[in-house]
Amino acid sequence: MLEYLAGALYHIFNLSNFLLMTLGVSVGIIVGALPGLTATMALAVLVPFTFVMDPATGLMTLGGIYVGAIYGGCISAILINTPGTPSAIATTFDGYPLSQKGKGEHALVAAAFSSGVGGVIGALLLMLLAPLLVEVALKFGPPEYFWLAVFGLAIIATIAANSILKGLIGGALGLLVSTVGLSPIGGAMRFTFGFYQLQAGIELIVALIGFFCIPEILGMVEEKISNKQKIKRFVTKKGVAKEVIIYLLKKPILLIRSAIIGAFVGIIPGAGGNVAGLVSYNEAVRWSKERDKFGTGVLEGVAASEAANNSEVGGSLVPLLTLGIPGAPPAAVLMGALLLQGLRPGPDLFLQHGAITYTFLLSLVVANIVMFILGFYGSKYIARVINIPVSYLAPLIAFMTVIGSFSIRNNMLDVYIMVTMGFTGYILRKLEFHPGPIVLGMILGPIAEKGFVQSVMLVSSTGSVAKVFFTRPISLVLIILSVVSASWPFIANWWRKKKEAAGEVTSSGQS
Amino acid sequence: MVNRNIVFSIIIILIALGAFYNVGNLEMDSSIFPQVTAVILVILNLLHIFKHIRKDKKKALLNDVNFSGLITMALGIVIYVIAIKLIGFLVASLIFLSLFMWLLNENRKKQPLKAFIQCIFVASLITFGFYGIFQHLFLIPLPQGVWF
Repeated sequence: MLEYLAGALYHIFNLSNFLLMTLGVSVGIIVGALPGLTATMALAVLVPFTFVMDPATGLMTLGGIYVGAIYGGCISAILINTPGTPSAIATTFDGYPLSQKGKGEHALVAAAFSSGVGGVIGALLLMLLAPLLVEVALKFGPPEYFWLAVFGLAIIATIAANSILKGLIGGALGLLVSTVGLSPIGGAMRFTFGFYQLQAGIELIVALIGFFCIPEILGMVEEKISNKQKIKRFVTKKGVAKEVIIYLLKKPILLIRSAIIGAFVGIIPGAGGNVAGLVSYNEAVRWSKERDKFGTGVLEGVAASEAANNSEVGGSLVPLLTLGIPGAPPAAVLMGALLLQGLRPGPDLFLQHGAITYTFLLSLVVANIVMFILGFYGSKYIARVINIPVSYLAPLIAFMTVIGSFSIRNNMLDVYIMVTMGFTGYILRKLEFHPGPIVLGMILGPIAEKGFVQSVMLVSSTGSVAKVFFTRPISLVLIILSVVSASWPFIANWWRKKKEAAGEVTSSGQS
Repeated sequence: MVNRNIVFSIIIILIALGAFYNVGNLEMDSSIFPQVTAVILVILNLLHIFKHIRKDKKKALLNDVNFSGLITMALGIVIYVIAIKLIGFLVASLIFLSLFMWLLNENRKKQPLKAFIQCIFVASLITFGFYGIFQHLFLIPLPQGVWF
């Protein structure tokens, strides 16, 4: 790892790379601040701009957008009580009461500072944990990869959906969609219906653009969101920033605990920034000596939520980069971007493309610092973009989905697939199917299929199903984890009932 | 009213069965995975149907929504995408953006001329801006139409 760091620093601080990353962070913050536009969507529509760049620069820019968008959500959460991205839900609890008390600036500074600290800790944890997981991933054979895919689906089906059955159906549907095109082992053509463009399968990014953007556009029109609540300009007071930062620096345990919670929630596939923020907020309340003050406007509440959701960014990339399983929906888009650049997530990323990978990892640390500076000095200006009316946004995003899905392969069929996926995604959301499991099914499909078919071949040569599928040690661990995660909702339900009886509130949600 | 969850599951079962037979004539190593997935889908959806037959609150698919706005937007996107083939990316985008920015504009009844000019201006800025970036900076040729 150390041998790559000098080169990585050189790449990151190359003027054009650094400017593009900073631009990524700024665009991310703006998109994140706009209610209704999520970090996933920001990444999906902006990937096409990065794939003309060289891989390291493209990834740095996307990392910047991801970091910026997750942070940006706090601005509207604090100022108008509407989280700009779902990740900022917990930020509204204390952020909005603070701005009602005329302490909007306090809340914004606290959010920028704790996001920066949380984000840097998350990125450092990513740099620490990913190489360890790579060591494990190197020991994987076909059966392990198969069980890994099963585990990924089991966990997301149970976490991301309200109904396990719907989660599982979504996952299986994603798996079926992933089989379009050449089969990975046999090489036969499947479900291409005579379209040669479908031979390589449905392009992941195209599907993601449709899935995450079109339903949002239709949702905007459907709800007739009108931003009646205009942002008031506020005057910054001298000394507030220093006061808030010194106050938070005296609470290192709060910041570190929130960041660690965020990173670990991020590692779990299916649990995104909103879960990270909510869990961390709950813990902050639980550990506090002044529990009653939470919810009335305390800086600790804002810091707990923001440190966790930005640290989750690093966490969500751990399983993505090492195993090819995104830890959160925005990470799924990054997976598509990696594939477009010809980089396949997994141990190879660290062993063969170490220079690019470590540049990306280190750039996340730098992006968080850039984000803090931009947020610190710029949030009062960025706050004004929240006033952009939906009448401009909805058509603009539709336009960008079209230009984006076309430009990936210069192919109109991709645009039609994107629109079809988008409408399907909208209907599925109406039927309360969560997009998470479906997308993960599409991503894990090829891993699962390759692992499964090769294992079946191993069975026919060794003659023992148990030896291939069930008794290998890593497989066994993955099977146990899958069973535990599949039974998790029942355990959680029991736990919640117990807690409710004790008068505490727990929450869960989507990213 | 027919239960929407049941209708959905029946459609998925039909798709899964279709997929199962579609790959039936391929070699085992290409067909086994989609077939297993299809079988799993059928089983899960039968459970889903069973669950919704037993207990269900009847809910309309589109409750309390701005239905006309939704359909207009959805149709707009479809027509826009088809129109790109005919009239080219530039013209289709210009029309789509200005039309929808105008339709969604809240001021269009109060100040029709101002809203109209604003929409045309913003739409042109976006279309030509992105066209320029993609065509000249990224060197990605955007689709030309059959007619233009």
